[in-house]
Amino acid sequence: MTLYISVAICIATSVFIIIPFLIKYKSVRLDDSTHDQEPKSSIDLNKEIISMQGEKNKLYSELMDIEFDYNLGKITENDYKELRSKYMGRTAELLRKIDEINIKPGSGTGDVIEDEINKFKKNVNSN
Amino acid sequence: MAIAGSISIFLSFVVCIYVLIASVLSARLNRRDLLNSAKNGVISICLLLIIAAICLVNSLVNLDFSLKYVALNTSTDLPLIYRVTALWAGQAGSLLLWSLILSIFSALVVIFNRNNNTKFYSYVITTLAAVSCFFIFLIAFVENPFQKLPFIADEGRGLNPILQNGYMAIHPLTLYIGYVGVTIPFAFAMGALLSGKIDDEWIKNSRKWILFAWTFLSVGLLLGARWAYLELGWGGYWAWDPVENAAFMPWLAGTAFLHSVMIQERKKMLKKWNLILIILTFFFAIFGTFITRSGIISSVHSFAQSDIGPLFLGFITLILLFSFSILWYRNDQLKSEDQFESILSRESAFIFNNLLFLSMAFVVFLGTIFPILSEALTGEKILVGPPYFNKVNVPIGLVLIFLMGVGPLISWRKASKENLIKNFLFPIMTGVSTSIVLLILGIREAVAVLSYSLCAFVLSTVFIEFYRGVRVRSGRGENYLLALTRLVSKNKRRYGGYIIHIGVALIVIGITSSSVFVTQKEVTLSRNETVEVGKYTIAFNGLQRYQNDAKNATAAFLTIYKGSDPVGQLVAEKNIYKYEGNREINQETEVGLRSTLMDDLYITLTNFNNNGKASFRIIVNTMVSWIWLGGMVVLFGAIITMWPAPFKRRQESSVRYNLGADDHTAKV
Repeated sequence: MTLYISVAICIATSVFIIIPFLIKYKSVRLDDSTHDQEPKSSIDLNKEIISMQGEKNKLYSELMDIEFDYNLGKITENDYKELRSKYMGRTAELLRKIDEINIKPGSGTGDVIEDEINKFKKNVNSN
Repeated sequence: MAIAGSISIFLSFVVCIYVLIASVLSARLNRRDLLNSAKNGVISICLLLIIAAICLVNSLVNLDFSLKYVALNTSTDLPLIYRVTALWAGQAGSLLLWSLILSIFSALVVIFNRNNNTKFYSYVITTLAAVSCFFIFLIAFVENPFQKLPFIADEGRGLNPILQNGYMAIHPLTLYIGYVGVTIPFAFAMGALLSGKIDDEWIKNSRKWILFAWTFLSVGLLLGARWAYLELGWGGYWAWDPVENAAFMPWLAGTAFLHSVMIQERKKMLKKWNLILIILTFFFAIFGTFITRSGIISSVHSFAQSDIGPLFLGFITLILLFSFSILWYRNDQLKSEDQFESILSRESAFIFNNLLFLSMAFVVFLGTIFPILSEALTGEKILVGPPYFNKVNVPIGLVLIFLMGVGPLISWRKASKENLIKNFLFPIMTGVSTSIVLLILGIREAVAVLSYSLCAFVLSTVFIEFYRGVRVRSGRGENYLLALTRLVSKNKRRYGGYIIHIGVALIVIGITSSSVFVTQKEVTLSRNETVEVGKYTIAFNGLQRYQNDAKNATAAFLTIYKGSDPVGQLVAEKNIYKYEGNREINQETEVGLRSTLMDDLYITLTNFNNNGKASFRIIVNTMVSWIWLGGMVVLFGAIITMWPAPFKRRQESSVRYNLGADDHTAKV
């Protein structure tokens, strides 16, 4: 009985490991392939945008942290302005990159960033 | 069952070799199918080792004495719970546990990243497979838990009676989770170095894992200390034993890493330093396992000598050589994107914090390996004791407590004079006032005064952080309780960290008090005689002998008085265990313990005679309970810090775009 179970385990393991070679993939290459000459598929672009969105939310969190530290009196007004300006610049750059893929005009402007930060804050506070 | 277990282990080793090769090839040949096959291999290894563990536990519970491991670690009189925990009582079982935990964590990494098909993840899996291969090799070919005896033993050797304790039952498991947990961030770091993707992705993936591992290391250390306090009978909880040090070193390096990642996340600095830190943390974790299991340094914990020592040494050497080589190879890509601007800044405070933690780790490392070095060089093994460790580590520890208070309040980049005065005036006043009060109360021990004052400084900085945060939120119309709750829930990482700091301060207060303010007396009493120790009067009521299947026990009954008021009864025992094939070979004491927040009354029965006289060691340990209480606060803070964000907020970070020309909606 033990022998049969052991054989079954061996077979099951082997099948599980071999299955990926039997699946047809939309792209056989890894996602960060540098050999790819063909245009990125919409799935790959989506993944890139998702990653950038994660980065964007991280920058928004940083901006909220800076504002929070300023309200707590832990950073001076000059440092607050400088840090805020630095992170706003990074966010603008990131939004421009996102919109290069998405073709959304005028999204790198300060007003749009402020708008998005406020939306992000609202969503965070309502949870 | 044993055959199934053995086959599972051998098969997992074969699959592990395959995963190692497939993952490397997937990165080199840029093949998605190879990566997915490797991922399935990782999950297979996990399932196979679960089967092996179930088989071994089954054999332990059913006392299959045909297996060497079962015969060495159980006996017919062993309670069920200790038959189960015997899984990690011995060499082979604990190595199986290490492999099992690593396989579970590796499977979780694969599952959480199932849609990630990058070279980075290929190399993460390569690293996990390489470490797994080593440990599975040990249990497959060197210390196989399913090794048969040439005969079936009638009775097992049993479990050492001092290990038959609830704390010791789970202490190794928590430590192993901590040790193994460190492997995951190490794998992410190696994935980054091998793939050349040296951005923040590896840090982002590593942070929760290192916090998880650190939490379990902390809990494991405290459980071990609690076990030593209850079972070893000397009234202490930490003796700088090599195996204690083995768990402490990765904890120190891991704490440094936990703080240092904040700088890389915030300021894109210390990239190289963080990689070095995680390599060192992993090295200390493997070194700790090596010390515990190889028997290379004699210790009250090390009960076995084995063949695995040279193999571990080779593995450690390989890890260090490979890791630092690849780090050196990627050196040019690891430049900081920002610079230090001032020594008076949070960045600098974190750097000092790192240097001190690493210094302490190095001091502990040196003291731990000194016996080996001395034996190798002079032929004589010289053990290094508490005086060395305390003399060097206490001053470092005091500075670290100070930095624990400074860090939360000092500004990033550059602290201005106004910032320093505004943020530190109250905490400094609190610290100074504390020291004045202590001196007025007659406390003259410098270390105690300094330690308490620094803890007061830290606690007041945390208080300020909470106070200001609540004030800011309540200014928006929230009541104080709601403001406090939301302050913590919206800033879990920050305020969870502050709660951990509170816990650490409580632990330091407990350690200081129980080290400096201890009253001890050795006394021999006849029946109905009393003795005064500190504020307690202890009356000896007599001895009683009894026996059960496991032991022959002698119990001393005592009544405790504070002044003239009785406050309780205690029983202190001295036991001779029926152990190792029913031969009476081992003695063990059960402490009589009365714990309050202010002190512990700790009584050990050291000797007795047939005339009814008994000898006791009586210790009054001041505020030692604060250590265990502080540990619970640390655990609470760590849970808060690790608590996941609400599902909706996690959804916000994955926004799906339609790439149709007219539809640019982002669903949040």
